Amino acid sequence: MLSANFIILIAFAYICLLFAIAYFGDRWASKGKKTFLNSPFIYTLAISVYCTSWTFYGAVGSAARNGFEFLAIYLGPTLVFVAWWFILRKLVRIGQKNRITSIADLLSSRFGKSNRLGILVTLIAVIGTTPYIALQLKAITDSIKVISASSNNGALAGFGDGSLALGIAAVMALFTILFGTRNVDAKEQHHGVVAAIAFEAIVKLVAFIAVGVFVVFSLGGGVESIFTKAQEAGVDIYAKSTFGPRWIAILFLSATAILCLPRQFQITIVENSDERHLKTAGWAFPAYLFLMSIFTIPIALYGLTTLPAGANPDMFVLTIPLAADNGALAMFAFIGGFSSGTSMIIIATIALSIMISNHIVMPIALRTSDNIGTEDGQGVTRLLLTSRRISIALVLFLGFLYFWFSGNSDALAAIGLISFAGVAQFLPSMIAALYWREASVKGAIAATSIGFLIWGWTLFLPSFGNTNLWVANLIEQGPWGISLLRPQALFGIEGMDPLVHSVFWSMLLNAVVLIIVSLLSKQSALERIQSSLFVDVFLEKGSAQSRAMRGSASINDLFFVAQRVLGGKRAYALFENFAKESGVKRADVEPTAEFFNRLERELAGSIGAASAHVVLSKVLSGSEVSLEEVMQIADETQQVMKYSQQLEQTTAQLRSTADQLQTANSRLRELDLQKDDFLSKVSHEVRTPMTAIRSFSEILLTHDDLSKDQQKKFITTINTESMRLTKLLDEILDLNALERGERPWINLSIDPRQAVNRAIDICYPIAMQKNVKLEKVTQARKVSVNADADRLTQVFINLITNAIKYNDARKPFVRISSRKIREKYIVEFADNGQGILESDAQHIFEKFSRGRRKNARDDGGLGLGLAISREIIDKMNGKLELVKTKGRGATFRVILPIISKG
Amino acid sequence: MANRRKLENAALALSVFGVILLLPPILSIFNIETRLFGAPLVVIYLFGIWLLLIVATFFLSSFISNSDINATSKEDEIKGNKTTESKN
Repeated sequence: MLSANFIILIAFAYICLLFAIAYFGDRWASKGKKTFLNSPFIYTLAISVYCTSWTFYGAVGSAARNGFEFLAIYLGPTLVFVAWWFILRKLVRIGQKNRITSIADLLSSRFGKSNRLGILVTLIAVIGTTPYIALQLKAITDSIKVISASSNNGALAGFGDGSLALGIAAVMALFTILFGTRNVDAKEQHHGVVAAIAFEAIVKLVAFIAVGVFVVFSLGGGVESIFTKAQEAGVDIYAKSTFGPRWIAILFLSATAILCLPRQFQITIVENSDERHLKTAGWAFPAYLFLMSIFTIPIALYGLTTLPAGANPDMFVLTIPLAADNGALAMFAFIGGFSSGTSMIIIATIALSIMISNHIVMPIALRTSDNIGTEDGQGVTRLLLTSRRISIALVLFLGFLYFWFSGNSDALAAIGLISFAGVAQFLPSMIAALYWREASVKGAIAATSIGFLIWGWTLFLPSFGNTNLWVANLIEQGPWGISLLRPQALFGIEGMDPLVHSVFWSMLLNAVVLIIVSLLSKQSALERIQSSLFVDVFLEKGSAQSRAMRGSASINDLFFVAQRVLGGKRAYALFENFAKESGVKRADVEPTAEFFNRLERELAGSIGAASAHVVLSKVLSGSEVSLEEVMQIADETQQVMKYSQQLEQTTAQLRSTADQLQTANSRLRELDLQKDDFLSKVSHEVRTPMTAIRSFSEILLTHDDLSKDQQKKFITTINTESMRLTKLLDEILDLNALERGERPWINLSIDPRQAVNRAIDICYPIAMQKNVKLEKVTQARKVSVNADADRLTQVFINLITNAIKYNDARKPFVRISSRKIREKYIVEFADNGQGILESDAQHIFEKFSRGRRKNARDDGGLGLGLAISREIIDKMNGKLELVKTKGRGATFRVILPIISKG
Repeated sequence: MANRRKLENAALALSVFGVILLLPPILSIFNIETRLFGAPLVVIYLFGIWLLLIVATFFLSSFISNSDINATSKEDEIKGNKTTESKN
C-alpha cells in the first residue's frame, strides 16, 4: 500500500509545498503586503517550532514510559508565556532596540559587545543543537521505516538509513540556504521561512489531533472507555508518576528552553515584528500546546492496551492508524511528524548559521583582513551570506554525522532534555542581562563556561555510556578512580536522578560563579552603558543613547562602510532617511553621535553588535575616538586640571612668600635706617660731652695761670659731663639689654600703689625745688600686678621728673591719679605744662627723640627715658601711652593688667 | 479600562500562582487513586489548571490595550501617579 518510494515522494512533494509557501511569503513581504503574514497568529504558530518530532512522536512514548512527565515539557513554556509581560516583553523590546540577531548577540551585546562571550555561546549552542538535529533526522528516518515496513513492499532496499538521513539533511540544507540566506536582513527576519513554519505548525497540530480523534472516538470508544480499558488491562501509567525533583527539573528546563533555545530565541525575539503580538501569543501559544498534548495520554494508553507488547511507544502515532488499516491517516501523521522535524531543523540551522557567521566568521575576517570595506562590491554581505550558507550545510552535516555514529543506540532518545539542559546554561547570564546591572562580562563568561563544563561532564558525556565502554567505566569509577568526581554522583551524592543531578549542580555553580565573579570584577565603560541600556530598556525614550561623539569621520567614510555591509540600496535609504529627518541634503548629513549609533545598530542587525562595533572602529581607525579613549581623555583632562590647580596653589604660596619677604625686607631696611639713625644720634649725644670734656681739659693743660676757682669750675664741668656720658652709656646699655631680653626679668606680684608712692617720695625734693605742686588726686583700692617693683618705680620717676622738668606754667602742678577699670590698673600723670605737639606725639617714645619746645635748652635729657619706660612697661604686659587731653599740658597713662588674688 | 497597574500585578500573581499550583506539594494533593470520567484526578487537575491559565491570560491580555504595550514605563509611572492623584 505505502511503498517507501511513495512516502519519500510525498515527503518531497511536501517540501516542495514548503518551498512554494516560503517563496510567496517572501514575495508578499517584499511587496509590503504584510497584513496577513504580520498577524499575531502567524507569529504564535511559528513559536510552536518548539514542538519538534521529539514531542510529536516522543510525547506519546514518554507518556507510555514515564507517565505525565511529558506534560512538564509543555507546562514550562506555558508558564513563561503566561508571564509574557515580565520577561518576553523586555526581551523583545531589547531585541528590537538593539537589533539583536541571536541569543549569542544578546549576551555579547549586553556584556560590552564581547566577542569572546559571543563565541562561547555560539559553540555551546552548536554543541547542544547538533545532536538535537540528529534526533530529528532519526525520527524522520525511523518514521519512514515504520510506515514503509508495514507495507509488504520492502522497497527500502535502495535506501539505507544513512543515505536516507543524508538525503533529508541535504534537502533541508537546500531549503534553509535558499530561504534563510536570501539576504542579510536589517533584523534577520525571514518572512518566507516564518510563513512556512506557521504552515507546518498547522499541519502537525491537525495531524496529531486527527490521530487523536481517530484513536479516541473511532477506535477507543470515548475517553472514559480508553481509560477504563487501560486500567482493566493493567496499564497504569499514572502510577509511575511521581511529582518529585524530576518533575520540577523538567518544568524548569522547559521553561528555560523556550527562552534560551537558539531556534526559540530566533522566532520569539528576532522574528518578532511587533511587540503587541506577544499579547496574543501569551495565551495562544499555551493553547496550542494544550491542544497538542490533549490526546497524548489516550493515544499512549490505547497503544499500550491494544498493540503487541514489543511495539515501540515512540511510534504509536504511526503504528496505531496502520494497525487499524487507515493508511491515509498514517500518511497524514507521518507528514505531521515530518513537518515538526523539518521546521525545527530549518529554524535551528538558520539561528546557528547567523550565530556562526556573526560571532565566529566575521571577527576572524575582521582580524585577518585590514580593509574589509575596500574590496570591490558588497564584500561584507557576500562574506556573510557565504559563511551562513557554509555553516548551514556544516551544521546539518554535523547533525548527520552524529546520527550516523550514534546509530541505533539509545543515545539519541534522551538528547531532547540533554539539549535543554545545555542551553539552560545561558539562563543565569540572560536573566542577569535583563535585570542585574552589575553583571560583568567576566562573570558571564566564567559562569557559562563552568555551567557548560558541568553539563558536559554530568549529562552529555554519560549519554554515551551505553555505547562506549570507556564512558561506562568513567561513570562507574570516576576519572582516575576518584569517586567524588563520578559524572552522575558528583561529590559522592548518589541516588539522584542524573538529569536532576546535572541541572542542580550546573545551574547552582553557574549562578554562583556569575554572582561572585561579577562582584569581584570591574565593568568596562561600554559594559556599563550596555547594561543600563538593557536593564532600563523601558525607561529609555526614543533611541537617545548618550555616547561620545567620535572623531571627525566624514559622512563619506561612513557611507562607504554602510554600503559594504548593508548593500548600496539600504545604505542609501538609511542615509536618505536620516537626512530627511534632520532636514538637510544627503551630502550635508552631519556624522553626529545619534547618527553614528543608528548606523552601528543598523550594522549590528546584519553582523551582530560586536562585529558592528569592530567594523566601525576599524574603518574609522584614522579618526575614530573610542569610548574608552574618550573616557581616558576625560581622565587626562581631569588630571591636567588637577595639576594646574596645584600649580595655582603653588603660585599663590609663592606670591604670599614673596609678599612676606618684601615685608620682611622693608622692615629690615627700616631697622637698618633706625640703626643708622640710632648710631648717629648716639655719636651726637656722645660727642657733645666729649667735646666739652676735651676742651676744658685742654684749657686746664695749656693754661697754668688759671685761678683756683676757675680750675675748680672747669673740673666740675668735666666731671658733670663725664657723669652725663656715663649715664648715657648706661642708659643705652640698659635699653639694649631690655630690647634683647638679655637681662633676667622677674615679674612678681606687687602693689603698684607702693611704687607710685615711692616715686612721689623720691621726686618730691625736685618738685619742691622747682615749686611744682605734686599731688595725688585719686588712688585705686589695693590691687596686685605682675611687675618688677624697682623698674616700675623707675618708670614712674621718669614720668614725674619729665612732667616737672618741662613744666613752665605759672602755677605748675603734676597730678597723679590711679584707678581700677575692668581688671586693669590705670595710673595717670598729668601736668599743666606746654604739652606735646601733635606732630611729636608719634615720636616721643622713640630713642633720642625729644619733644621740641619754644625755649629749648639743654637740660641733660637724653631722649631715652620714654623709650626705656615703654620697654619696661611692655615687659610687664602693660601699656604706656600719651593721652590726648583738651586743656594745657600732657597726660601719660600707664595701664597694667591686674592679677586675681590667690 | 481597568487600572493598568492592577492588571500588571494580576499578571504577576497569575504567573506565580501558576508555578505554585504546578509544583509539589499542591500537585501531590491531587496525585491520588481517585478517578474522574475514568481518568486519574491529577490528569484532570493538570489540564484544568492549564486551561485556567490560558483563559486568565486571555482575559488579562484583552484588558491591556495596545498602546500600553508600547508605552514606556516612565509614562506609565506618570499615568499611574495621575490616576492616584485624581482619586485623592
